[in-house]
Amino acid sequence: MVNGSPGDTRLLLGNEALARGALEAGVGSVSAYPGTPSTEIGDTLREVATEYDLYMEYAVNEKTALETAVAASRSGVRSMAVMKHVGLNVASDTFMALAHSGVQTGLVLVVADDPSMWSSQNEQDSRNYAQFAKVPMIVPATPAEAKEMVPYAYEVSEAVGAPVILRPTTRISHSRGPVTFSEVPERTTTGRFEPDLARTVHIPAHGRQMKPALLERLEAAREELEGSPFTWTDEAEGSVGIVASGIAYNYVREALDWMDLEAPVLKLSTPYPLPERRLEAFLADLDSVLVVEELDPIVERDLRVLVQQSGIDVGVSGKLDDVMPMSFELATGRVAQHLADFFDVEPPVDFDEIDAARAEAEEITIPRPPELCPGCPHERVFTAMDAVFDDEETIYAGDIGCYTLGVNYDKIDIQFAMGAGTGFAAGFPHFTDQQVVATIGDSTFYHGGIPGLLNAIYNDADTTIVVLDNQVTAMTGHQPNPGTGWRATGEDAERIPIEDIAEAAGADFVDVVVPYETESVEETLAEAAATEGVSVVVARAPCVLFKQEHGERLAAIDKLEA
Amino acid sequence: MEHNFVIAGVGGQGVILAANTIGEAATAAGYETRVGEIHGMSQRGGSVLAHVRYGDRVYGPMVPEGKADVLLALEPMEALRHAHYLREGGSVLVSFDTKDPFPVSTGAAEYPDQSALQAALEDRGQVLRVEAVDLAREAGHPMTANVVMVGALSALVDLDLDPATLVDAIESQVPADALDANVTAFELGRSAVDSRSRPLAP
Repeated sequence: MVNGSPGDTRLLLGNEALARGALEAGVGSVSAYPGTPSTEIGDTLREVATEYDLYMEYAVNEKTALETAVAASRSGVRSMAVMKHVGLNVASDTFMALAHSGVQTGLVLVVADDPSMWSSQNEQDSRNYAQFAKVPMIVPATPAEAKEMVPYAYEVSEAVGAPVILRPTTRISHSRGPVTFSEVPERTTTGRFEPDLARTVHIPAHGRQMKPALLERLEAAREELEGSPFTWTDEAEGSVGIVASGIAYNYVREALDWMDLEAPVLKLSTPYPLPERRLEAFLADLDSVLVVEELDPIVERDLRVLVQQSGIDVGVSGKLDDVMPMSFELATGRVAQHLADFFDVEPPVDFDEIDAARAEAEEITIPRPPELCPGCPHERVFTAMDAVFDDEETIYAGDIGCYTLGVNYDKIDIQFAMGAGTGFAAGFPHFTDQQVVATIGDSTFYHGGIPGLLNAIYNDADTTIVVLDNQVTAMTGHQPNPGTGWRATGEDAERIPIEDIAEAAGADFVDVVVPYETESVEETLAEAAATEGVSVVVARAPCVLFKQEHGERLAAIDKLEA
Repeated sequence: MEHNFVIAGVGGQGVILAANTIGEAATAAGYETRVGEIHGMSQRGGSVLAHVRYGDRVYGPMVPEGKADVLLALEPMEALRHAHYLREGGSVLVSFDTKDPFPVSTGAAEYPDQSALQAALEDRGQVLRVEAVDLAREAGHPMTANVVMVGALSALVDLDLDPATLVDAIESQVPADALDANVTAFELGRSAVDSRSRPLAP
């Protein structure tokens, strides 16, 4: 998909465009944890990593992915860490220190947000992390721009000495548009770590030096981003202007055209830090300005501060005065409705009629929730659990993956975040006599489930943890993890079996079952539940889709280890 | 010039491939193009919706509600679920290849009456039923129903695309050993609508 010559134009997914951008930026290391909507960035690069001599790993979680990126960057290799928005929560401890530390060789953190939660447990706006950590952020409006922004992000990173966040959203990552290729330069993939203790050893004395330097870098970034080629103004008649950030720019442009409205529009590519001089120049001739952005009022708040500090006489509207909505993604229709109200003109279509049509359809149609694939091993475990446990007296702690669909089988009562299920399994037994049974997948167990298991064992919880090991990171499209026996770029690796970890940690009961052997699964679950202390049952059978598509890979690994 | 299509179906029916085929052809013809899709949970047997837009200038990746020229649906209930995207004077090309959702297969709900679906769709625009699965079988593979629908669309609307460009785009999307069946499926879809010659309202 991303192989081609300069000048070639391809219809690329936003994530593929970002992957091509990484090649064109001379990135030497990519470390990722898969998560919708970010996954295809890593999946695209792992296909070509060997060919382009690029280090590519699927890390155990987002924090280790970011730590690999820091190591690469500190060794003189341009590095990219890739994750979804909630992944940055996991990586945030290292991320905050990285912000203080700064970089010499470029480091770009690609964080894909998921407004409206198409495939996520919560809605969050990663622009808050940019503000929180004082790290510059760039947001694309199209797949083509996403590709162009990658080399630019490295230029900014190296010019300023800061990591840079590039934040696509679902509608960029998972939409296709024409992308024209540029040159792929030579890349540096190894180097040498030169200690710089005042910036790499985060003791308080160093931290106190790093903080003022961080603030200086932020101002340098603001200056650099004043010149962003991805920020521009669409001049037009009128004293009411619009500032639109990221994908919202598309919706504003289309809505204005649809309603034959004229308004000056500032298309903003850097929500943080704001290019203040450009904004002041834009606001100078306006009576009022509407900020259109998805999720939190990040740009709006900073713009209100800028207006107050600069004394420009302009009214600011957006979310904080209830003109625009605070939740969920925007779309052209939604923006058009709000613009029609704001400009006091007729909407382009009768949105009430559209809403009525949707409501009528909802009355007639039956919902079509996602479901486990035919033959899925997880399904067999959920039905066995149904036979063994009393739902009324059992707390089922779930986790993040295909098996979150255990909720369809009434086998999830609480489910928060990656690995939280084992943490709940460790916690509940101290406060209730109810049976506690957690389900967690293989990749999620390695990612965030191990601390919960250790906590349960060390603090003496009476609990059962069922690891649904389908031998691949299935939900996101079959990535490797430490249980699979192969790495992102295809070579074999030594498996780290889940049962070995449980045994080494001192679990009171550990057994491995085959999900399709119903009787044995039921007996083992009953025995696990009856055992005082921590029981771990590993239910192992390959994901049926993975087996269909890559059965040879499973067979080869089994043969290797036999 | 601007074309806006919404393609609906169920995971596994080839909605994304149909959208990408049109998108590839539009890109090859030099139009500004956007294809919008949703991945992740929706791939697990849930509803799948793709948007295709192209022309001299297009903006966001999704067709706005009330702006779709044609709704292409591989499943009738999915057609109705997304029929509010149609503009006034728009059309529905629909295959009545019903797929039971989870609540129906578990007995918790009943699949809606097909004539009720048809009637509700007719409130939203002109409805053309395409026997896409039958035609796909005739073409050599039931999985080519999605390409039958693309063929049907190309006969219903002047796509501003050469049919040969569409065939090239099909070639870029399907495995080589399935190419013949897909090209036949495309042609069968085209003739299925040609023979009824009901042009799209402007």
